Amino acid sequence: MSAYVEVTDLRRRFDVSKPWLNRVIEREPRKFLTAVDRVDFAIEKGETFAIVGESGSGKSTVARMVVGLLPPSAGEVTITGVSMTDPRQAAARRRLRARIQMIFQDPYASMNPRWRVGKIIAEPIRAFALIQGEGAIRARVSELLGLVGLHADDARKYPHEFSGGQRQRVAIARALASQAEFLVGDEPTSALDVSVQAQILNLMRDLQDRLGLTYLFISHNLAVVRHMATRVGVMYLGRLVEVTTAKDLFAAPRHPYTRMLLDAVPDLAHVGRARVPVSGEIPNPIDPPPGCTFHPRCPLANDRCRAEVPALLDGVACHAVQEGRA
Amino acid sequence: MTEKILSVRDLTVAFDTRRGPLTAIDRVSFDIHRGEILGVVGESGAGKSVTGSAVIGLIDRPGRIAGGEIHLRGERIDNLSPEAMRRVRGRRIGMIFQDPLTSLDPLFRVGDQLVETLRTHTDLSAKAARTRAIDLLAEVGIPAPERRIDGYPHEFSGGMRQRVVIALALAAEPELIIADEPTTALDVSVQAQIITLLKRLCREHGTAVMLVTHDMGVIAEAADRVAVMYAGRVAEIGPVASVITKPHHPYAAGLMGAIPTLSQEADRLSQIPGAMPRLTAIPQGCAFNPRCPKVFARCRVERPEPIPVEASRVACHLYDAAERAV
Amino acid sequence: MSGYDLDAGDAPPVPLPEAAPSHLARWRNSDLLANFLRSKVAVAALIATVLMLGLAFASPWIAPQNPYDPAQLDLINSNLPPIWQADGQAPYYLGTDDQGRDVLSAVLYGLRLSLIVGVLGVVTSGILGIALGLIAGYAGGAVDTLIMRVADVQLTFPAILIALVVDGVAKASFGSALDVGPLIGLIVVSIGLSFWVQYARTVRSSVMVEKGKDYVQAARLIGLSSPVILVRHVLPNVTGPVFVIATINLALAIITEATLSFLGTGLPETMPSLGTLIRTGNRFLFSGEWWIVAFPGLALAGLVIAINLLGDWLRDALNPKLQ
Repeated sequence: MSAYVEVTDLRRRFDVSKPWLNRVIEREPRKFLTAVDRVDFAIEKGETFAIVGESGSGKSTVARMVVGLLPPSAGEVTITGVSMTDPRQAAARRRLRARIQMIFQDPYASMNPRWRVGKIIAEPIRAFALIQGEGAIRARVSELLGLVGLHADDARKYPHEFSGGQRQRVAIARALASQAEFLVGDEPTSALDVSVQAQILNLMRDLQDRLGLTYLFISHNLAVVRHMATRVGVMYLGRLVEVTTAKDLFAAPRHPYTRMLLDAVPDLAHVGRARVPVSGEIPNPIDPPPGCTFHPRCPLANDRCRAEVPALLDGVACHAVQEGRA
Repeated sequence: MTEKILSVRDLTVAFDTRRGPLTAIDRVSFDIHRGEILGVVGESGAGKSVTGSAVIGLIDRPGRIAGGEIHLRGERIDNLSPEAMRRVRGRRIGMIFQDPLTSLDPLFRVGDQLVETLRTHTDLSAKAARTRAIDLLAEVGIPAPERRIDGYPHEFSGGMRQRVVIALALAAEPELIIADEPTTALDVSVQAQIITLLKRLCREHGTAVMLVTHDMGVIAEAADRVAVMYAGRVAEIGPVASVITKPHHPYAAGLMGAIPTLSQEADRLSQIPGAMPRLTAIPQGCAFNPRCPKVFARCRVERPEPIPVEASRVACHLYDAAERAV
Repeated sequence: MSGYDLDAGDAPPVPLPEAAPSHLARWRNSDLLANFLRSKVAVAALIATVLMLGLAFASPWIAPQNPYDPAQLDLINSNLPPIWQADGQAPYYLGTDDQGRDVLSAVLYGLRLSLIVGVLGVVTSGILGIALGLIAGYAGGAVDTLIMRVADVQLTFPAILIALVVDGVAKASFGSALDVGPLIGLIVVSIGLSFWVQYARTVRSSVMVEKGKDYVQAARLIGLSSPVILVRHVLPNVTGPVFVIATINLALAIITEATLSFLGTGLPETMPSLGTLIRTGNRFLFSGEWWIVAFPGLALAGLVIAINLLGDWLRDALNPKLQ
C-alpha cells in the first residue's frame, strides 16, 4: 500500500538567465539552476520525516513543491494518493488542501501585520467554510489558541505585540485551524532563541502525539532533527544523498557527506574538542561538479565518482559505500 | 595568572527614548586575559552585542554608556574622544562581524584593504605591507594568497571572505578581538573551519578574544570561559566546561537543558517558560525571577550580585551563604 | 478555555498590556504622531492646509458674492482696489475685477474648484496607478514588462503635454462647447493619465517585496485566488508610500490644473478656477490693477507650498532610512 506522502523523481530547475536583451548583446546562453534533482522519498502517516542540508541544498524547494506552492519541473508529489500536479485531480486536490499546512521560518513575516491574531487564525476556517457563524468561529479560535498554549484574549492582539515564540505558536494554531493532518515546517525554529525553540519543538511533538499529525520537517540543524525526526533525508546540492531512520543516521552515518556534517556540528558535548576541520565549501549550484556533486570534498572520491552520478540504493547515494570502500 | 587585557567594570548602557531611558546593559563586569577566548552568550535581547559595541566605542545614539569603566591593559578607554577611540579600534582592538560583506569594501581589492589597514596602523612600507598581507592571507588559510590578494570580495566564497575579515582584524596585531556572531552567517561545515582558525590564531598571537554568539555549540568548542547574559546582566560567568556541564544559575541550567544535542536523545527538551522580558519591562529584583523554577521572596525585591561559586561567579540568591545556611 | 492546555509555555513573564488597544489608541501612542508634533513646519503646514480647505468648502456661505452668478455682478463696482487703498470699499476687501466680480469671492470659489479638481485627479491617477502596479508586481513576466514599458514611455512626456493632448483630442471629438461638468471630468482624466506612473512604480516594487513574504505564501496555501490575496493582504501593506505620493501629487495636480486653465484649455472664465483667475488677471497687470492676479496667485502658491511641506514631512516620517 502506498505511503501518506509519496515523492517520485522530483526535479526543479530555475531560470537564472539574464534578461533577453543582455543575453543577446553579451552572447550568453540561458542559465539554469537545478535546485532539486531526482528526489524520491515517502512519508508514512504519523511520522516525522526530516530533510537536513546546508544552504543551497534544495531542502526548502522540496518543501514548497510538496505543499504545492511551487510546481515541479518534473516528477510528482502525491498525498493520500492525490497528485499535487495532475490537472485531472483538481477537485480532489481542493479538498485535500485544507489538510496540508505549512509553518514558515520567519514568524515576523508569516502573518499579515495589519490583521488581529484572531482574524489570522480564522482565515483558513473561513476560506474552507469549515464552520458557520461568527460565534462558532470565535469559539474555535479560542480553542486553537488554548491548544498552542496561548490565551483566548490573545485573539484581539496584533502580531507585533507577540514575541517570536508566541508568533510561531499563532502560526501553528492557524495551521491547525483547517484541521490539518500534515504539517510542513520549513526551519520553523531556526529564527528563535534556544529556550523558545525548545518550547516550540516540545509543542510540535505534543500536538503530534495528541492529534496524530504527520510532519515534514526541514532544518539545517542536525541536533534539532535528531530530536524531532523518525526518519531523515540528507540533501546536498539538490540531491538526496542518504535516507534512513534517525536512529541509524546518527549512530552510523554512511554517506561521507553525512559523516562530515555530523563531525562538523558544534555541539555542547564537544567542550574544548580539537577537531579535524572539513575541507572546502559547497560549490556554486549553477555550475555543479560533474558526477557525484560531493566528489571535490570527498576523501573517498575516485574516477568513477567524478564521472558518474551515484543512484540512491538502499538508502545511500555513494559509489564508495556501494563498492564497499567506505 | 596571565596578563589582564580587557577589564570591564559595572558597564551600564542606556538608550534614551521618548518614554525615558532604557537600560540595555546593567552593571556588567568581566575580564579577558591574554590568549583567552571569552564567550558571551545569550538570547536575543540579552545585550551581548551591545556589550561588544560598548567595548569598541561604537554605541550609536540614542544609546550611551551611562556608567562603569572599560580598561584595555590598564588604560581607561570608555571616556576617550571619538578620534582617540578610532585609533584604538583597528590598532589595538580588531573586529569581526557576522556578515563579512559589511567589513569589506566591495569596490576595493582584498589586498588593498589589507595593505591600507597595515599602513594606517604600522610603519611598514608599501612593499613590506604587501608581503605582510600575503603572509596574513596564507596564515588564515587562503590558498594561493599571492594570486588571491588581487581579487575583489565578491570573488571569494562566504567562508573565504570571513577568513579575509579575520586577516584584516589581525593585521595590526591587536591585543583584543571582538568577534560578533562570526560564524552565524556560515554553513555548518564552514563554521567549524572558522572556529578552528580563530582558536589557533589567538593561541599563536596571544590575542584576547571576546566571542559574542547565541550558539552554545560554538562557545563549547571555542571558548575558555563563558559569560551567560540575561536581560542586560551577567547571570553566570565561569570556565566553559563547568558552565556547560554543571551550570549553577537557574537560567544557565535551563538554557543548557533546552539545547538539543547530537550525543543524547531526550524525549522532551527541558524548557524555560515565558520569554526574555522587553527592555521596557524588566522585572524588579532578579530579572529572571518570573521564569525561575526556584524563585523565592527575596528574588522579587533584591537584585542578586555575582558571588563566587566554585570556579564561577553566579548572580543568584540561591548561592548566598545566608540563604544556604537556612 | 478548552481542555487542551498543554503548558503555559510562552505565557509572558510580565503581563502584557491588558486589552488589545484600539486603532485610536495605537495612533495616539504612535511615533508618527510624536514626530508630527515635534515638527513645527509640519504642524504649520497642516494648519494652513486645513484652513484653506475649510475656507474653500465654506465659500458659498462666507463669500460676499457668488462669482459664478452674473446677476450678482455690477459693472459699477468694476476695478475697485483692495479695501486698504484709497478707493477701496466694503464688502470688496480684496477689490474687484473688470466685470465687477469680487476678488475675495472669486479666490475662495476658485480655491474650491482647484481643490476638487486636484483631489479627483489624484484619486484617478492613484486608482489607475495602484491597480496597474499591483497587477504588474504580482503577475510579473510579460504583463509586468508591458505595463512598465508603457510607464517608461509615458514618463518621457511631460505631464502637461499629456494633459494638453488628452484635452485637445477630447475637444476635437466633442466640440469645444463642453459643459462645465464634463470639462472638469476631462481635466481630471488628463491629470489621472499624467500622474499614474509614479504610483504604479512604487506599488509594483512594494508588491514584489511583499509577495515573497510568507504571509502571502500562507494565503496561497489555503487556496485563495490572486485577486483576493492582492486586495486583502498585499494592498493594505503597500499603502504607506502611496499616501506620500498622493500628498505631493495633490500639489502637482493643482498646479497642472492651474496651468491648463492658464493656457486656456481648462476651466472657462464664467466658472473660474485659480488658474483661470490668474490668466484673466494677467491682462490687467500692466494697467495697474495688480490685485486681480496677485491674490489668486498667492492663494495658489500658499496652497501648493503647504501641501508640499506636509508631503515632505510625511515622506521623511515614513522612511526609516532617513531617521
